[in-house]
This record gives sequence, structure tokens and C-alpha cells, in this order.
Amino acid sequence: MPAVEMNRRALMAQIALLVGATAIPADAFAAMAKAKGKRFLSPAQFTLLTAIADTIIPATDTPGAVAVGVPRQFDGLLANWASATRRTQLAGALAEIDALAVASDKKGFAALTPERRKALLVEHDKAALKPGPPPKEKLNALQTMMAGPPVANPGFLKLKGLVIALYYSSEVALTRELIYEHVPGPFVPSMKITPETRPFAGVGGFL
Amino acid sequence: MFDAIVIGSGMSGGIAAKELCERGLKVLILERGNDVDPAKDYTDMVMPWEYTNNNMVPEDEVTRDYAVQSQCYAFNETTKRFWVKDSDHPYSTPEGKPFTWIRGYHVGGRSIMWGRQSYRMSEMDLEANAKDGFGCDWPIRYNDLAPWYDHVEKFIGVAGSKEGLPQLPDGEFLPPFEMNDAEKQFKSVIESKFSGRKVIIGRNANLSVAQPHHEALGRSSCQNRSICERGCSFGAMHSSLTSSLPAARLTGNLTLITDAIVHSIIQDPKTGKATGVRVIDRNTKVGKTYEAKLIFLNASSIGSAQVLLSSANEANPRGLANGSDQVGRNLMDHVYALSTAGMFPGPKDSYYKGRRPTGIYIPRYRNVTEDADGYVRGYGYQGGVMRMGGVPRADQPGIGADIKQRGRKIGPWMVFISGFGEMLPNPENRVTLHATRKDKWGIPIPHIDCAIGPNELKMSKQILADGKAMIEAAGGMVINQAKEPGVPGLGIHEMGTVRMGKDPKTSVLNAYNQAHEVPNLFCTDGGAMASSGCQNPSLTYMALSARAAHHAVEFLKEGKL
Repeated sequence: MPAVEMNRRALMAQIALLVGATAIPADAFAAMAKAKGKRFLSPAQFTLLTAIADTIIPATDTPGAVAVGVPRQFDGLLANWASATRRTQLAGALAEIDALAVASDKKGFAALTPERRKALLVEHDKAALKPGPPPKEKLNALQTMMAGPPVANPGFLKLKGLVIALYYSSEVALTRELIYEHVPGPFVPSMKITPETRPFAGVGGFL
Repeated sequence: MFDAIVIGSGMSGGIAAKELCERGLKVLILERGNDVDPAKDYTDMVMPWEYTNNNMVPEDEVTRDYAVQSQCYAFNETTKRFWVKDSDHPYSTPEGKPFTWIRGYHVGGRSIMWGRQSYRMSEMDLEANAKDGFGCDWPIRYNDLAPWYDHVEKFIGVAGSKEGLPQLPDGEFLPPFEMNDAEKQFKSVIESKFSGRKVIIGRNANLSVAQPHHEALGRSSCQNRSICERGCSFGAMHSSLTSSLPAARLTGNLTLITDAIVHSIIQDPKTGKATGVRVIDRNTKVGKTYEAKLIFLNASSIGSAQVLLSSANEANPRGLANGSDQVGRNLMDHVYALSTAGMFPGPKDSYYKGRRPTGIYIPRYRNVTEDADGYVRGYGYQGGVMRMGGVPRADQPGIGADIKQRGRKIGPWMVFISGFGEMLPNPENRVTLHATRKDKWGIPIPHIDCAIGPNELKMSKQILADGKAMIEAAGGMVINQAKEPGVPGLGIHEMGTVRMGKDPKTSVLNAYNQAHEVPNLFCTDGGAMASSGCQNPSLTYMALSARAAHHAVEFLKEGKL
């Protein structure tokens, strides 16, 4: 068995153990960064991304962003989807969070306790989502409507948005946080909501 | 030698070919794009966790190859193969006058990715040009079209409710999809507060209940997935691939050649008849000619105008069938993207299940039951009332476990209605051939010069004002509204460039979609439309196609062609 594959399996086992914990201990992030072959982000950036993703969507009674592979997929988006401008924007959004941690706690974000990470990101999120100037690129009417109002820190919004989008396209989130039916069958126009009712996940676009 | 050549295998070409084949003609379809194999090329079984790049097309690729196509709501990684690369298929527009030309070049054309809304035009629509003087009078009236609407609706399968509205005639419907409880509430309030306005379920070409003749073609009932634009493996939505072409093949009379880009139509200078079609192979760029007794032009409105203009010959320097100089003129779309959205006080404990493949529809009432604010014609709205919730929005503050908590909550009801307005035929809205630029195959590219006019602008204002008034009257709170109509073309309802009319001096086609000047040439795509109505037009193109095919075969039998 190749070493990379063995490492991957060891990592999966490690993640499986962590599932159910409320947050991942700081030293685990670095182990994850080393675990796999080629990545777009440097090990340090990947460690930072993993800590941020874990803070945005931690494991609760369901697995969190790290367990479902959000950092790996996010790295894949940087490599295969993002333009140069987007890469700069997202790398900046990551670095900005690390700089906040260094300024306040004299440590990198990934080295903080889960509580401190959350406290820092909650404040950062609040400031980032305040109203901002309109975007430079001209959007058509539909795009404007879908994009929502402009915010103060579009880089952070994109980072957070991608983490959420990747998490909620995972099988875990779509079947345990929400209900996803690929083939719903007959349309049921009316059903009573009970305390147990969960939202149906859409397929993107309008529905 | 074939009996008939049909240029294009999309919405209208598919129906024309089927009808011609079923009447015993040996038919050749020339399709400029590649073949599509539903078993391999549909992506409707890809699960969200299997998406490439989370279903987003790489940003540099969008900029380089899909700058126009990516503006369509249905463009994403799973549907990418169904949109043209803008970089391979350029067109030009005047500075400051953009036109958004959304297309797919493959077997089935846009019938794979279409929105499936299917509405009849009414007597009011077909009389409009004659009454208010814009455009030329349609050479047909509703009674000419009605039996062909019946015929097409039955074949493709249109779900809808009978409403008895003169401006939106009922049809041969499958059982309608149902409204959810909030939509029923919205309907009840709007209909009681605005006399003459109706809120009905959208009429759509999805098989609510497949009938035996649908099942015979391998189609089955809709599963409420709303990923129709990826291609439907259930065959539950009408497309050329699932209905028209399989039916045509069953006759044994169909030949389909792909990768055959039509350069021009050849005319015999002595008889004036069309004798064949010149094509260029998409891959090898080798030219070839096919001959037939009858030619149906179904290349879509802009494409068909381009073919006729490219077919200029010594006797017709302005283009084939273009003595009227109307080929390429009167380009219309629908006034589009005039959306209003708001929160809606729907029933608190009610939800629904399934992604219904249609919304609600508010048929036209301006210049029908209510006066308009200084313009002619009118508009309808498409929309819906749905629960928010599911994937939590990133632009709401919150980090950590509360994002998940937010995702688990059933969200509030949101209502949105989006106007589709009639655009007047204007001869200055025009497709011409570019004087110098050619595409990869040496064909002059289309130059599209089109803008909305004062009638559309006045209408747009009232579309938005009425949208707000209706949502507020229903107890909703408007949170978002478009400010201006979308760029022309984005409605993806291009029409009018090869228009029908009574007078050969002012129109290209007669009452049978037959070119006034070339008796064995028919055009039955959007180009034929003498006015646009405000209804989604595909159903009308299909009805015109079936009707014209019927008459063409009669004329052929009578020795008139």
C-alpha cells in the first residue's frame, strides 16, 4: 500500500474518532495538512483553512465541515475553479483571520483554543457583513437579486459562503442536517410541520 | 434525394420533422451540433456530493468561453455541455447596445434546457397588430391555430388548469400541478382584491400523469426534481430528444445528420424553388450539398435569418425570400427579469414536498380587464410562493453551531413574481450579416442591433408597480425588486425575423409559414412570429410547425410545390 494511501486511511480513522467532538484540537490541524499529497494551499495555509472551516461549521450531533472534507474540497476549488483574482481574494481572507489572531492573542488562528477561535470569528463575521459599497463588476438584474446586498468584506463572505455551500452539498449534511430527495416522486402540496420537520434541501438555482 | 430537409433539430424542427415523417415523407434533419445520447450525456443522476467544483464552472472558463451563456439561470457545471461556447460562436452588437443570445448547439437544441412554460396565444394576440397598427397583421387567427395547439399539447403533454380566460385559451391539459397552501392563499387574496386578475398554476410541458401514448415513447410521469435542464432520464419533460425525434424515428422515415452547419439554401434561378442546402462539416470543414423537394427552416429566429441572408444569389442580392427586406428585422424578445420578491404571511404550520417543475402564473390583465398606463399590449407574471430555509445564507451573521441550527429551521414564506411583457415588432431591431467578420466555418457572423422602446419602458414601470402592489395587497413585504428590464435576449424568446404576414411586400412568410417568394421553403421557428404576445412562445412555434407540415404535405401531393 503506498504511503499516501496509508496516511489517508489513518487520517480517516482519526477523523472518525473526532466525529461527535465539539471541535478539533489544535494539533490535529497540522497533521491533516501533512496527510495528503498535492495541494494548492501551502501546509500552513491548509492548516489555517481547516481551523477556520472547523470554526464556521463544527461537529455537533452531526459531523462538521472538516469531517466531510470541506478543506480538501475548498483547496480543490482554489486549484480548479477559482480565477487568479478569486485566489488572491480568498488567500487574503484566510490571511486576514490569521493576522487578527496574531494581533489579539500573539498566536496563529489554528493554534488557538476552539473558544477563542469562535470568539474571534464571531466578531470578524459581524464586521464583515455590515453594509458595504456596491460591487465594481456590473451584474444583471437576476444576478443582483441572487447576490443580495453588498457587504463590507466580500472576501470573508465568499470564504464563509464556500465553506457553507461545500458542507451543505455533502451527503452527511444533506441527509442528517436537511432532507435531500433526489427523486421526490409525487408533489405533495400540503403537509403539516411538526417539531421534527426538517427543511428539504434544494438543488441550487430557484428550487 | 430526400422529400424534405429540416434545418435544426430543436423545439420547432423536431415537431416539423415528426409531422413530415408521419405523413410518409423521407426526412433529413441537419443539425449543426453534436449528437446527444441520453444514456451517457444527461447528468440528472449526479448527486450534489458528486458535483465537480460544487457545480460551478471555473471562473476563467466562464470569462473566456461562456461570458454570455453564463448569464442564463440554468447554466452550471452539470449543464455546461448544453450551452455554446461564446468563443466559438461569436456575434456582434453595436457599442452600448448589448444583446444576450443564449443558445445550445446539439441534437434537441434548447428543447433540453427550456423553461417548459406552455401557453396559447389568443385571438387578442393575433389581432393586436391589425388593431393598433404596430407590425404587420398576422395572416391567421386563433381558430387556425387552435386544432394544432390541441394536437401538440396532447403529444408533448402539458399540465394545466382550465380557466376559461379569453386572453389565455385553455387546452388539452394533463392534470395540473397543485399549488401549495401559501400559493392558494396568495391566489385567493389577489383574486378578491383585484377584480379581473387571476393567479393560476403555471402550464408546463412536464408529464404530471404520463398517458399511454407518452409511455409508448419511453416517457414516464414527472418526479418533481426540477433538474430538467440536465436532461430528464424519466422523459417527463418534453424535449426533441424524448418526444419528437423518437416519434419521427418510429416511422422509419427519418435520417439525422449531426455536425452539419448550414451555410445557405440553394435556389434554382429558373423555377425560383429551393433545391437543396449547402452545409459545412463542423469538424472537417468540408462542404457538402443535400437536396430535397421541400425545406423547413428551423434554425431559431436569429439563425434562420442568418441562413436566409447568407443565401443571397444573383437574382436576390438581399438574401433569399427577402424581397420585402423584412428578413432579420422586427427582432423581439420578451421584456424580462422584472422581478419583485417579498416575505409573505403564509400559513405557519404548512409545508410541501417535492420540487415542482412549474410556478404560479398571473395571466395578462392590462388592456384586457384593466387599462394600461399609456402603452399598448400587456404582460403576465410567473412566480411562486415558497419556504426559505435549507442551506443557511452566508450573509446572515453567525458562526459555529448556530449556522447548523439556522439550517434546520423551516424558513419563512417568500413570494416572487416576475413580469414577462410583450415587445413590439420594430423594423429597426434587426439582425444583419457582419460586413467583415466570419466564424470558424467562414460564415459571416450575425450582427444583432436590438433595444427595447418607449412602449416597453412604460410597460416595465407598471410591471414593477403592479408587482409591488400585489405583494403588498397580499400582506407581503417587498424586500427586493429589479430596477430595469434585463438586456434583450435574456428572456430567450427571440422572435420575428422571418415574419408571417398577408402581404409579400411587408412580410416573408404566408399563412402557412411558406415563403412568399420560394414556395417549397417553410420557416416555423420563432422567426415566423408577427408579434410576440406576452406568453412563453415555444408552444406556438410547435403548433405552427405541425400546421405548416400538414399543409406542406398537402401542397406537395397536389403538385403545388
